[in-house]
Amino acid sequence: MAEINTLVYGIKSSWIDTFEYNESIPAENRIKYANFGDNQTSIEKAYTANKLPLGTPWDKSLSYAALGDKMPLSNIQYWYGDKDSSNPLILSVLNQDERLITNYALGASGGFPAYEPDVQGTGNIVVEGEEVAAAKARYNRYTNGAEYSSSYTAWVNFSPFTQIPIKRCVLVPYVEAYRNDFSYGRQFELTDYLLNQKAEYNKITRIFVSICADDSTTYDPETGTGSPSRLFNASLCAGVVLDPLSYGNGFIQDGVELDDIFKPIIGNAVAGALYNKNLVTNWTTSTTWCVPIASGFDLDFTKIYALNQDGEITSNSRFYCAADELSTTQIRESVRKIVAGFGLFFADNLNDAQTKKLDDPAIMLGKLENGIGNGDYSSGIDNRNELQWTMQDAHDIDYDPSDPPIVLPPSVPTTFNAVNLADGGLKRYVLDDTAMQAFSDDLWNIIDTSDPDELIQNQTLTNFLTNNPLDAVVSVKRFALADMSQGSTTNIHLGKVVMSAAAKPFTSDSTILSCGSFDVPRFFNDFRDFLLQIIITLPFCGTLQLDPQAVVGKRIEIKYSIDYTTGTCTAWVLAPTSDNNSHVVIDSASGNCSVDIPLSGVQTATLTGQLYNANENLKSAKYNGIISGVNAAGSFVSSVKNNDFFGALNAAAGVVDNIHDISVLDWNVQHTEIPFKMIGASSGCNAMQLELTPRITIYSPVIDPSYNESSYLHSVGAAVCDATILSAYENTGYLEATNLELNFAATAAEKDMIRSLCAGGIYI
Amino acid sequence: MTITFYKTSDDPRKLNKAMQNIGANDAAVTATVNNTADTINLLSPDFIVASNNLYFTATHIFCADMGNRYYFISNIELLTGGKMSISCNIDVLKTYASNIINCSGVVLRTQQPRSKLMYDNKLPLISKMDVHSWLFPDTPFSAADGWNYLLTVVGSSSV
Repeated sequence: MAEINTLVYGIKSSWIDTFEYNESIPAENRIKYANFGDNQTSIEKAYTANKLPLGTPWDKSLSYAALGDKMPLSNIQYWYGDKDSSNPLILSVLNQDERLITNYALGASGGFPAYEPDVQGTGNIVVEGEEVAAAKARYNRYTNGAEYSSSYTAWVNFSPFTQIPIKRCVLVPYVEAYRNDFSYGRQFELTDYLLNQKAEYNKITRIFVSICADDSTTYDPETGTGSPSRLFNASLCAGVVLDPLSYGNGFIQDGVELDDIFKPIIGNAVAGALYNKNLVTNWTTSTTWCVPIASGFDLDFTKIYALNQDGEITSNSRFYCAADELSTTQIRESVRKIVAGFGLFFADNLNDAQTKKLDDPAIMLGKLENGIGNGDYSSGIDNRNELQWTMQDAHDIDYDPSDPPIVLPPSVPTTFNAVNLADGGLKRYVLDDTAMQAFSDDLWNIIDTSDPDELIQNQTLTNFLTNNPLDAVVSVKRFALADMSQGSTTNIHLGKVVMSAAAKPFTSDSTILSCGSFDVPRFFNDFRDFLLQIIITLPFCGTLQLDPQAVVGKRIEIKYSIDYTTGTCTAWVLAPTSDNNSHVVIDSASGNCSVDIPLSGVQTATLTGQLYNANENLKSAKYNGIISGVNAAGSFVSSVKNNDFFGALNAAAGVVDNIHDISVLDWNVQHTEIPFKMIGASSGCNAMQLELTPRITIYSPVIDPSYNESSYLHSVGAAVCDATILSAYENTGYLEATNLELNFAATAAEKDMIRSLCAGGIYI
Repeated sequence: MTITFYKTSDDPRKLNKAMQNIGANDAAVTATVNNTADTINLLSPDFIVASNNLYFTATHIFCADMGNRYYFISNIELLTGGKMSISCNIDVLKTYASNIINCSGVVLRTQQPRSKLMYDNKLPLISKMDVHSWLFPDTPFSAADGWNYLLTVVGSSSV
């Protein structure tokens, strides 16, 4: 359960009411704001009072629960524009968050009064050693390398909630959408949008949630008596990410729109009057402008309106999600999942949110697993089965942002995983050096008897189905991975034996791990960028030469899929398609990232451990000796009866030989070493000695040192292929043109001259 | 037939050259052609005029009577009787500048490209490559000791 940091957000008794609640509403049933001092609730006060210092991560204790890895706010993309005055705008993804869990704060901003009217700060504050006007401080959350922008002048009033009485509030989603040509946009309740507006406003730019707070003095959720009255509505309630965002990374300093990250729960983060960003205009004024975009489920907000016939971004361009490519059900379900991630009650439209009882079919409740929401939800009477129904406040949820539950990265789907299907009887354990030594030592202590019958019947065959405990070991591999632990230590089960050696259970068959992404630079911004030779060195998998056409100016990503059974790994190189609508594999290479560990050390094994193979021989000899001895004795008697002395002597010798054999084998039991099995091959570990991080090496063409671009362009021009009227190039200087259509009065000889001159180069 | 003398410093390959008069104070200088005994070639005419040293400063001649054509002066020869023979070649670019600019065609090279993505085989690339290298920001791999031995066994859960 999260304990809110009272040093930052104030003590509970000082928290501020969000609404003018009816006086009879108990304090615990009211949504409350933090109190950053002087009964002020806004982030401005938090900064000026140094409660949330600029340039440092926000205190996360406000996060009553977390968003899982499927949620849009866990996967924010940061779109970066590359533009100067002479080149078309080129967009690429600078960074993408890939959080397994995302901490967040809900709150209200804009159009909703705090306890005290917010005023701009006065005086100066120091940010990164530089004194700046306090009024420029902003509710900017921490992000590497982009904590503060001195060019920012607007003020954002965001007030975080510290108290969220779960059964006294309901969320409702709002869709912000535009007409097909972006000529006009509005915000709609989800139901209204899907039923009445989707056809006309088919470009969605963002989706918000609003929170409706209950002021009813009669409604009792438990008994269902009375009627809810959730008329208080904190519109555009914000879901602010409290974890570090990846998109600074030292690249972006000014011009980024950090202020409102991330008020929408999905879509374009840029808020207020800026949401309607004209991409070209903004990148013209600021080449480092960056747009955070969150997509998820069926809603992809990375489409761009509009591209010209050359695929270049034209003026009036914007990011959007194409509603006309989605069914009503797809949109509704996606929005519901996104809202459900916050673990609160919600409805599709404002009327339901304000008036329906919490177990009404129109009211849904986000399900949480270990305090993490991944989009599942219940509705109607089933809401009563969820844990939140038993809670007073959202902060009663069993989630602590300072000690979040361990979440494993998503693995490959196992539906068609042959290994998964085959290994029902397999167990995997992770060991460190010490545990490995303990396991190795313990192997020799499994056999603790020298009695052959006990050994074979009760200790080998019964426990291991064979006579050798090592047959129960499938493989031991040392992986070139960091800590692979998935749980706490437990004793190893080998066959039916619980060993005293302990290790950590490991349940994965395979995994996909990311090496992050890299923006392949454009060195020249001309055709030479496509003459680059791009070599990517993949640990354990060798090298690949990438096609510049596929990667230059784009963000490439490397992911490794690793098979834990064989140690094989495949490195996948992914790059966006030309329309940036999908990320596809452009190349791959395979190798092995593990080293087989042979189970040796036979000479140090204990004597009892050496018994069991010799045991089988002994037991077999005993059996055969008895049978053949009986036969020999019978033969001896028979021979004597028949006066066959030679036969009698041979038969007697057989009895003696059998006794001798048993003695020898019995000795062997004590002295013969077990034929130890080598588990796996002793594979090389050369690759582990090399660089373990993927490396990209780019060979770029070099131009003659005396080259001067302006002189070159003036004398030779640059290559184009443009079928046009020459007047399009009037007053541009040097020009070469062919295939002229000279439809004016001149002699043929003159026209030949004109064609020849134009082909050779003229100044126009 | 009257011709007018001009001078220009523009490159001969310039389409619409800026012409200046050669007379003092920008005064237009003209001459009457006296070619009674000779023929005149349209594209490469030789104009015989009364001698005037001022003509040596001219680079172009305009002749309205020969279809409003402009000519490069290629040579001037002094003749007996105070005459000059001025050899010329047609300047089709200046003569037809306003027509050419409105013609359609395929532009192959330009001084002000809107994009430089077209392969340019005239760019003086030398036989050398620069080498740049970066590491990716992250890796799942580590050579450090730790919990990274994976033991796979056959084991019964119902021990």
